[in-house]
Amino acid sequence: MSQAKIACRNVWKLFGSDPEKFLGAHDGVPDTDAITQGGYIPAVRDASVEVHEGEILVLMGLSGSGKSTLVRCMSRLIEPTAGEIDFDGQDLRAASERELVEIRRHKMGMVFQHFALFPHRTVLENVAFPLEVQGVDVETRKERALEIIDLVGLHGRGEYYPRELSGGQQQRVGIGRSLAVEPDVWFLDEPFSALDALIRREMQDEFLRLQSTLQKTIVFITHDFDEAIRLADRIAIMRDGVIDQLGTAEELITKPGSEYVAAFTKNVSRAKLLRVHTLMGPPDPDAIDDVDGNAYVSSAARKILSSSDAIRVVENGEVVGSITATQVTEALFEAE
Amino acid sequence: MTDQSALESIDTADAAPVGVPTKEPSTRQKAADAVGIFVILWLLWWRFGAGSMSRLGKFENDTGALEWLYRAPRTWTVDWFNLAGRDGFASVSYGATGWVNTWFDHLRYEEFFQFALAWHLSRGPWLVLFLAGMFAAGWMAWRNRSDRWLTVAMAMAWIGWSVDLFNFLHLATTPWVYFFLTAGGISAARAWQSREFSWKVATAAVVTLGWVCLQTVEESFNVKVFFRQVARWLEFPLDVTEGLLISGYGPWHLPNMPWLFIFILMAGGGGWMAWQRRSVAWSVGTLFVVWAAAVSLYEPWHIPALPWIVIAGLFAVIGWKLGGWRLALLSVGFILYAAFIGEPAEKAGAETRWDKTMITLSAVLVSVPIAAFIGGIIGLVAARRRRVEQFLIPIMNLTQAFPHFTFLIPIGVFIGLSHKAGVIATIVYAVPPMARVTILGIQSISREVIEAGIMGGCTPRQMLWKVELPAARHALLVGINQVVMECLAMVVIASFVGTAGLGQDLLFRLTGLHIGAGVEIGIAIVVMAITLDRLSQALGRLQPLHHSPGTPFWKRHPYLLASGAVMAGGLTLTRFWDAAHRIPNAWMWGHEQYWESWRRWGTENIRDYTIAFRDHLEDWILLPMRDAYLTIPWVGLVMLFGVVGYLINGRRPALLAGGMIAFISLTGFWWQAMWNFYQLTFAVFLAVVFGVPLGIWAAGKARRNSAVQVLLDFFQTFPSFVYLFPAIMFFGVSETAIIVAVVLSASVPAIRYTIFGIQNVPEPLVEAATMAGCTRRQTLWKVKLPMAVPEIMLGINQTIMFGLFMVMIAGLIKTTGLARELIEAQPNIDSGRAIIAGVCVACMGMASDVLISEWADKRKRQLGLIT
Repeated sequence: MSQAKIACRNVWKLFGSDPEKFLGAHDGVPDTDAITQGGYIPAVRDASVEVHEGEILVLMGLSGSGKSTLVRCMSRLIEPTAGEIDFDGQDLRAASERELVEIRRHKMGMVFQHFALFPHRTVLENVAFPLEVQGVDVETRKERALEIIDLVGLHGRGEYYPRELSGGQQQRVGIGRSLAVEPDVWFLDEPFSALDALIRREMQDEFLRLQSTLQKTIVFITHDFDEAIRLADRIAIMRDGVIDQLGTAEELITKPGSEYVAAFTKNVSRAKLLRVHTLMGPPDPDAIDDVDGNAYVSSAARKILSSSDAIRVVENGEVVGSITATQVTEALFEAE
Repeated sequence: MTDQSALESIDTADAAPVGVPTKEPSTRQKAADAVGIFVILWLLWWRFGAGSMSRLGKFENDTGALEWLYRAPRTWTVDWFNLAGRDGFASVSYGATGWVNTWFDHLRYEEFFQFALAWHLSRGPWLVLFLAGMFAAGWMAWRNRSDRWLTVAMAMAWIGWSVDLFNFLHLATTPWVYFFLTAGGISAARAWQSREFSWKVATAAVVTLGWVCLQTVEESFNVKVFFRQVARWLEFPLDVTEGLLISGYGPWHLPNMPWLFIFILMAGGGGWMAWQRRSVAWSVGTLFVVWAAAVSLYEPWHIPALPWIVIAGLFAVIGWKLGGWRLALLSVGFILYAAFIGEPAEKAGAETRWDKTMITLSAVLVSVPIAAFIGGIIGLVAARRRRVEQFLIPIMNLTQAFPHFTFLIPIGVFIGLSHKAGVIATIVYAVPPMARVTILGIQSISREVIEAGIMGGCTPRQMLWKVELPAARHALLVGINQVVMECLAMVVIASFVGTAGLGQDLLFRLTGLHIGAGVEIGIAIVVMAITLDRLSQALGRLQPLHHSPGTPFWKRHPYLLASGAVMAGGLTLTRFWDAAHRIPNAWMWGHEQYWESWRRWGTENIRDYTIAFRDHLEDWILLPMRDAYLTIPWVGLVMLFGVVGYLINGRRPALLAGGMIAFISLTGFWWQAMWNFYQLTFAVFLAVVFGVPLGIWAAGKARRNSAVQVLLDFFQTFPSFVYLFPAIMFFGVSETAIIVAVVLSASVPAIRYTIFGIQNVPEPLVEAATMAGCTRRQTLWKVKLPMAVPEIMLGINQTIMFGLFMVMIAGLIKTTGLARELIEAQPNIDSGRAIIAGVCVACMGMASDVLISEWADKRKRQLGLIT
């Protein structure tokens, strides 16, 4: 796997009167009771996570679980109380105000839940905003902004004001603005939560399409598990400021680390997530027919379920195991 | 261990309300107790103690040992303004001592020194100390590259100058001015361009040194001198606006400075910047400076005033741009009224009504941007720094509780009676609302938008200009609307310190009891107020529009072109037609005589009845009520406010409200305050009795509501003393007239808040009541009214505030109580008296404000209307 683009190590964020002193008094790892008794609100507790180059890491959790705070710590919109944050090998917490401005201008982009468009600027001016503050000249930034506007599918709307657009279109502008400077890292804070279900679906597709061409390093926040498994390379589930479990969607479903994670994954449509090789048993000499071990269960289900015998699982031309209808039904309906 | 105690504490917290049934007396019962004690005390005094008290509250014979309960003895009061020398009502002999007077009227550096040098130091050590401090601050500034220390160093230099420490540096003015101006200008330009600290230091040094060296010794420091210097600079914008509107732009009344030189410096600097940056904006600016210099310094090029027809046209374009043809019509209507209505010049002196309107307009045009700018900056700083905000908010509350007059007094004292003094008062008065709105606007920008700005990589400066200010644009424009209205109200009232224009005209007519002319001017003011109000409101509603690419220039900028056309057309027209430039006297028409005839008709037919009504009212209600109020024991009233405050929200409101009442007593203005207090309570009672039912009635139907709202808007744009006309017309100069005027002006908020409160009742509650089978009456009484009561109480609070203003303004026709102290105090020797009276008025207002708003807040929380 490629190197870590962002690495958080033991990041803490406490809200309260003097959190640094408090953390120091507890050797940097106060327990829950100590925190509540000290009158502090723990937003992020001892979070360690690495985001690799080109991957989509989804931070998942209910509201108040600290996922937004963690992302804001990664961009230093919020000053973390303790911990280390490396960005591209640079210690982000040691960066001066000026260095931060430079990093944000060139390496980071962020999309917000409620779009956060500037109401007094046209679509074009909104998209060109990050270029404008960098001092890029008018012609260049207009050209660049127009490209971006086409990229996010708003061709011809450049002169509109945000209030003249629908929610989905507004978020396209937000996405466009965050992409204008071609950042390495892209933070998306619940970008589709404020949209209707249908639009959300469409925007997710759009997002995947963009990512397939752009290949950014992405930290994506959501409270919707379906969205998480659709988009994520890896998912970090957060609860009460703690990262409960970090892994691929499949790992979370098959090996939930806690009740909490299990409760989340219970109602997920497993057939679309589990691959055949996850469920298979050892190779069976009597097995007939072949299925691909990397295929999702949903695409192979018809073949497996309609057969009364075990079926060979093949990967790269080699038989790696076998699978039966019973194994599939058990795995799929286990949760119920 | 910790766990256990936590559990226990939870247990007890849970148990208290459930386990121990504490029977709290109901609010009604508590209030009854509080008022009961007070009334008993009062009645006892009235019946047994004060039978011998005269109407004016003067003791005729000694009432014994308990007297202090009822009137704070003179020995207790602070010697604010030599109160001890004035005994009672009649004898007035000011010696103008007392610390307030000293502070405001006589603060000169000698006294400052006598005060500071109680240890018999000569100036030498002070000079050394100052220089050491200055250099230390300068050194800190240089070492840390800190703007803050630089400011400290400059401030020390300024203070040193102001107490005449640097007299030995004084230079003869002429040649040095050029030197310092050049050096300062160059280093300021370098500092601006390179943003290097060393250039900032150079600028600071040159400016400070120049300032210190060149100030003339004769005008040594004194609060007054300083303010008068500041005031002189206001003449510049006033010259410009008045020049454009009335007199023509020409000779200046500016401080004696080498203006030609300054202009050359400005033009040179601007030209250089334009050349350096190849910037169109800088070149346009430079050309403008050159033009302004030519026009203002070379006599034959002075530009004449804009013809009225052009002004009307410009107003039409502005109205059209901001709010379509309706606003355009309104704006033109305002100009036409100003131009054609009113008696011609020979009758009214040199200036026609048009000139006066334009003077008032120019004062507004000058004070609005200045006040908005200052208020905006204060608001911005406060919005960023929590501590500054906490410091400013109570001060702003205080200033808003002061009546207009209180602003005029210190201004009159410091700056003297003049047109610009009034403009300064206006600016000062309009700053707090702007600051407040700015704070609100900046703080209510969504957190995400701010974050989007930061993530875009904005520096703090870019944040301010590109994100915060534009995002708060709407709130800021609402603030501007408020500033416009406050300025207009104040410009009219400021005629008391000599502001020219409509207000002064109105004041003269009013004092001469020319009702007809007064009405005519009153309407002019109202029309102006409505126009400016609507225009600035529309400005706040304006949304940017997009043009599809390829729209021709004339379609993109119709308003710019229209203004150009108006200017060109109007100016050409005036060449052929004199009347387009200035309206001939023969065209002017006044409707004064109609109002006069109405008044005469009223006097002849109705007045007998109203006077009879007045006499009965005064004999049977007002005078007995007044006498009763004058006997209110101060200890009793303090206790009443304190106890009610305590019942409402504990110790804080109790101390605040009680303390303010006690303060009034201790200033020695007790009976004066009680006199106004009686007027206030009676008028507020009437206003509530009329206003609240009217509000309830209006809230019932959308159509009634909108009709009433229009009416209220109309009434609220009146400057408050317009209400005095009908009152005097029908009731003569009397207590009743005052009360009628107060009721007229103070009903507006009572009605407005009632409507607002009733309409704010959550719709589901009303639906629930309807579905439970309530009749309309039951819905009103059982659901809507109880929910609306907090809002109605806030309305009553506003009513009290309006009432207080109005009681003070009514002092114009019949001076009573504190109003008398305010109006009759002689500026320059006895300003302390007026200031303290103003503070007393503010105390009355704030005491009731504390009680009512705390209660309403608490009640709203209970009802879940706010969280």
